Amino acid sequence: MNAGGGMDGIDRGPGAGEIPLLTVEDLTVGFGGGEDGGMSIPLQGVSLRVPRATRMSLVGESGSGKSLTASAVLGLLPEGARVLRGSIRLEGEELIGADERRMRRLRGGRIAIMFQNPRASLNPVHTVGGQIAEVIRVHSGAGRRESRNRAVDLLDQMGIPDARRRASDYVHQYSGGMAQRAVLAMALSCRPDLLIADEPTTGLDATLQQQVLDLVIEQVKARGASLLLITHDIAIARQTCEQIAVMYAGRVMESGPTEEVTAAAANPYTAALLKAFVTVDRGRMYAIPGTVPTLSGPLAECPFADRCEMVGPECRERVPELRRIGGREVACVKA
Amino acid sequence: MTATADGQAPAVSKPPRRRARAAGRLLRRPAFVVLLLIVLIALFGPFFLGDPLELGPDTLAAPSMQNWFGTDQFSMDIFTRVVHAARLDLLVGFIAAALAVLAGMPLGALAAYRGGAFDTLLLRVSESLQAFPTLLLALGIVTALSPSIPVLVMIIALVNVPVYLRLTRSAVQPLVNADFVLAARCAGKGQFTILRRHVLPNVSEVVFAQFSVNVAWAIQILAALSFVGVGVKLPTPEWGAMVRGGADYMIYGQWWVALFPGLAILATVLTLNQVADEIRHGS
Amino acid sequence: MREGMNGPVLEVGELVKDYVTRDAKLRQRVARAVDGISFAVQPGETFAIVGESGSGKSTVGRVLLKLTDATEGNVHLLGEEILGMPERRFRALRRHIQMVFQDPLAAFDPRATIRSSLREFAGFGGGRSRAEQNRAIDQAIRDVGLPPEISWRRPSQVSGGQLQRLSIARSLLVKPQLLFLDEPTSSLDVSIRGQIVNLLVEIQDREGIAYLLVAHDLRVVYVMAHRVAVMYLGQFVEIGTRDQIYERARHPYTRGLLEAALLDEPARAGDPVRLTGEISEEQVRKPGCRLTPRCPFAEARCDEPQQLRPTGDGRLVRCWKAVEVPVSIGLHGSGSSSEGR
Ligand SMILES: Nc1ncnc2c1ncn2[C@@H]1O[C@H](COP(=O)(O)OP(=O)(O)OP(=O)(O)O)[C@@H](O)[C@H]1O
Ligand SMILES: Nc1ncnc2c1ncn2[C@@H]1O[C@H](COP(=O)(O)OP(=O)(O)O)[C@@H](O)[C@H]1O
Ligand code: SF4
Ligand SMILES: [Mg+2]
Ligand SMILES: [Mg+2]
Repeated sequence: MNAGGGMDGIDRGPGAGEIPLLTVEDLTVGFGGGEDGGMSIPLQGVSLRVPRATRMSLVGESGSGKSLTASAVLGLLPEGARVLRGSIRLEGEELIGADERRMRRLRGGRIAIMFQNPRASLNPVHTVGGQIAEVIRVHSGAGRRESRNRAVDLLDQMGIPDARRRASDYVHQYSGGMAQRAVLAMALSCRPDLLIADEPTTGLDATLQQQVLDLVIEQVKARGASLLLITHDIAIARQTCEQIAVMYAGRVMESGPTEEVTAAAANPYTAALLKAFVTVDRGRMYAIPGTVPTLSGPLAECPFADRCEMVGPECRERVPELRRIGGREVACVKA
Repeated sequence: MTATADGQAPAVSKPPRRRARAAGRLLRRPAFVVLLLIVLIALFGPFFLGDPLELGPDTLAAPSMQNWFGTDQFSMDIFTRVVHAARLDLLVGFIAAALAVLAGMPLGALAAYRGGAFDTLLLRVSESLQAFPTLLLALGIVTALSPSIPVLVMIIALVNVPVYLRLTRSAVQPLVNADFVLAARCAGKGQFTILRRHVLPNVSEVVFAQFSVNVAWAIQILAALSFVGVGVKLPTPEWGAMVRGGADYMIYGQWWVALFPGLAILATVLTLNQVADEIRHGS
Repeated sequence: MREGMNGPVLEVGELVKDYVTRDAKLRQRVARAVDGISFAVQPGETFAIVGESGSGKSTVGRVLLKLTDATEGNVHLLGEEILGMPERRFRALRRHIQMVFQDPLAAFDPRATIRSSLREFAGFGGGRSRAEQNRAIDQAIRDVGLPPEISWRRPSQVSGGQLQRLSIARSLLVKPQLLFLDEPTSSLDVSIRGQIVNLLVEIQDREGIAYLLVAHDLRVVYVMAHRVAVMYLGQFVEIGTRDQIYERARHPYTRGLLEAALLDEPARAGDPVRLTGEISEEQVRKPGCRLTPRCPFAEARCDEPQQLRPTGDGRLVRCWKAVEVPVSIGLHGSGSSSEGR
C-alpha cells in the first residue's frame, strides 16, 4: 500500500535518474477469500520497468501471471481481484487507486492494448474503419471526416491492401492476419506511449505470426513508443525485443537485455526455459520435471525450488528478491 | 498372465461421499423442496382426508373453518378434492412426460448420430406434428377415440415426443464429433454403446430440465382438455375439470369453486418450471 | 499372423477427401481438404506431416482412422485395404491404429472417471477379465510415469500434461502398430512439452510402434520425425528425410515455414524465404502451383500444374524451379549431394 515511489535507493540501474515510462513494483494481486474459502495470489510481488522507446517482452508459461500484470496496468483487473500490495506508475503518476475516469483516459490514450483474439477486440456490428475513426474522434476531438481519413491512412500503413474499401468491411470479412492488423491500427490510433500486446500472434500460423510481429515492431519503432510484448515463446521474445522479463508463478525471475539474458541465463528457471527451446537430437528435448505450483497463499520460498536442479537449503529460507547484477536483475540466491 | 486377482490390489476406491453431498445440494434448491412437498401431498394427503366424492350439507358454501376452500355445486369439499386431484394430475403429467422422454430422447440422439435421410425424415415428421396446434391435435384424437385416462396419457405423451426429439438432437449434434466420442470409436465401441455411455449422459441435464417443464405442460394440457370438456369428466377430482365446473359460478360471486383448483395448477406449473431453471443453472 | 515386420504398416495411395457443406441458402459447397496424397509408414518409424492450419493434416489422420469417409484413394493397413471396409468389420482392426488428440481435455468424457475411459480400451474386443484389465490399466499408467490412483479422478481434476500422458497410456492399452498423433503437444506448456515428446520417443524405441505425427511445432517434429512431408492446401509439396527437410529444404513453402519457426538449430542451406499473405482455399480451384500468391519466386510458368518430382537425392518436390533451376530460388551449390540417416 505504499505509494511513496522508488526512494529505496537500490533499484537504480543504468541511466539512473531517468524515470522509466512504466514502473511496476512489488505488485501483489489476490483473488477470493470469499464464500468458497479458496484464496489465490497469482501475482506475488511483480517488479518491472519499461523505459521509454523500448521493446520489452514478458515471457512465461501459462498461468504465470503475464496477462494479469497487463490488466493491472490497464486498470482492468477481473472481478474479484484485489491489489494487495505494490505500485504501478506511468512516469511518476501512480495508477493504483486512480479513479476510473482517469484510467479510461489513459487506456486507448497513452496506453494501448492488443489482445490475442482480434475478432474479440473488434465490434462485429460496426465497420472496422468506423470503429477506428470513432476512437480517434473521441480521443483527439477531430471531426468525422478527418477521423475517417486518418483511420483509412492507418489501415493503409498497417499493410491492408485497398484500405479505403476494406475500411467499410466488418471484422468477419477479414482473415485472421488482416483482423490483427486492424486491431493494431486501432491500438495505434491515439499515438500511445506504451503498447501492451498480449500474445498478439498466438492463434496464428508461424508464417503470419512473423508478418504481424514485423509490423508491430516497425510501427512501434517509427512512433518512438514502448512495447510490452506478452508471449510464452522465448524465441519470439528474442527476435523482437531488446529487453526481456521472465515470469514464473507470479514473480519476475529475471529481467534485462535480451541478448545478455538469453546468452547466459542467471536464473535457473530462465535457463530451463531456454533449454526447452533448443532441440539437441532425436528424442532429447529438454523437459522441466514437475509442474507449476499453485499459489493459494503468500510464497515462503523460491517458487521454482521444487523443480530446480540447483536447489539448496538457502533457497527455501525466503522468497529471493530481484537483485541487480550487472545490466540485469535476477531473483535467485545462487546467482 | 495367470490371474491371481489379489496380486497387488492396486485399485484405490473412490471417495464414497459424493452421493450424500449431492443430496445436500439438492435440498439447498428451494424449488426442489416445494416440488417434493407437492408430491408428498399428492401421495399421502388423501389418506388424511375424506372421500372426495362425499357430499356435504351445503352446496357452494364459502370457505370456512369446516371447508377451508368452501364447497362446490355438488356440496363436495373443495380442499379434499384439490388434494385428491393432485394425484391424478401429477401422475398423468409424469407418466406422459416420461413416455415422451423415453421415445423422444433415443430417437433424437439417433437422428443426430446417424444424420442423413433418417435424420431428415424424423425431423420432418416431428415438424409437421408440431405444426398443428397442440390442443387441436389432442382434441381431434380424443374425439376420435373415447376419452379415458390411458388415452389421454398417450395423447399428451405423443404431442410431447417431438419436443424431446428436437431438443436431444440439437444437444447431441455437437457431441457426435467431439473428441471423446471419436476416442470411444477408436476403442472399438459400437454406435449404441457410445450413445448410451457417452452421449446421453452428457445431454441428460438439458433433457431433465426439459422434463420438468414438460410435466408442467402435460398438466396444463390435461387441465385444458378437461376444461374444454373432452378430458376428465366431473365429478372425478381433476384440477382442470374443477376449474371448468366452477367457472360458471364465478360471475355469481362464488369465486372459490374455480379459484382453488386454478391456484393448484398455477403453483404446480410454476414450481416445475422453477425446478427446470435450477437444473439448468445449478451444478 | 499378418505380414509380420516386413512391409509398411500403412500405405496410402492417391487419397482424396472432399468436405461437402451447405451455406446459409442450402447451396452445396465442396471443399477439397486432401487432394491426392500418397505415402507409406514403415514399422517403428515416425512420419510427420507439417503445414499451416487448414492445409488438411488432421483430415488425413481422421480418414485413416475411418472417423470420416474418404472420397477417393486407397489405404492399406497391415496389407489390408480399409477404405471400402464396412465399419463393423473394421472395428476389430482398430486395435492396430490408434490416435492421440490435440486437446486432452476434449478427448476424455467429462462425466466419466479417467479409469472408466481407460477401461474401454483395456477391454477392447472383450476377452480380458476385469482383473486383467485393472492390471493392464495400472501398468499403462505407470508406464507414462504417473501413479495409478490418479485414474479415479475426472479429466478436469488433473493437469493438461498429466491428462495428455493418460491419453497416450489409453491408446497404448490396445498395443497398436500405428499411432496417429494430432498435435500432441500444442495444448501444453513449453516446460511440459519436452516431457511428452521424450515419453513418446521412449515408447517408440521400446515398443517399435510407428507414428504418424501431425504438428505445427517444427521443434517437436525435429525431435520426433524420421521422415517429413510438407503439406499445403491438401497436397504434399515436399517429402524427405528429416535432415533433408530441415537442413536442405528446397521448396519455397518449406523454407518459408522453417524461416518463420525461428529455429536456432540446424543451419539451413540457401537464402531465407519469407512468405507473404495467408493460406487461402481459393487457390485449390486453380490448376497451377497453389503457393503462387505467396511465393517470392512465382512467375508465369508457375501457373501450370506442378507435379511432385524427384530431385535425385530421394526426396520429392512440387516446384519446377526447385528441380530445374534451384539457383533461381536462392539454393546455391549443393543440391544433388546424397546422404542418409
Ligand atoms: N478471473 C480470475 N479469477 C481467478 N483467478 C484468475 C482469474 N484470472 C486469472 N486468474 C489466475 O491468475 C493466474 C495468472 O493468470 P494470467 O491470465 O495472468 O496468466 P498468463 O501468464 O497470462 O497465462 P496464459 O499464458 O495462459 O495466458 C492464473 O493462475 C489464473 O488461474
Ligand atoms: N468437418 C469439416 N467440414 C467441412 N470442412 C472441414 C471439416 N474439417 C476440416 N475442414 C476443412 O478442411 C480443410 C483442412 O482442415 P484440417 O484437416 O483440419 O487442417 P489442419 O489439420 O492441417 O489444420 C480446412 O479448409 C477446413 O476448413
Ligand atoms: S512453382 Fe513457382 S510459385 Fe510454386 S513454389 Fe515453385 S516458384 Fe513458387
Ligand atoms: Mg494470458
Ligand atoms: Mg488440425
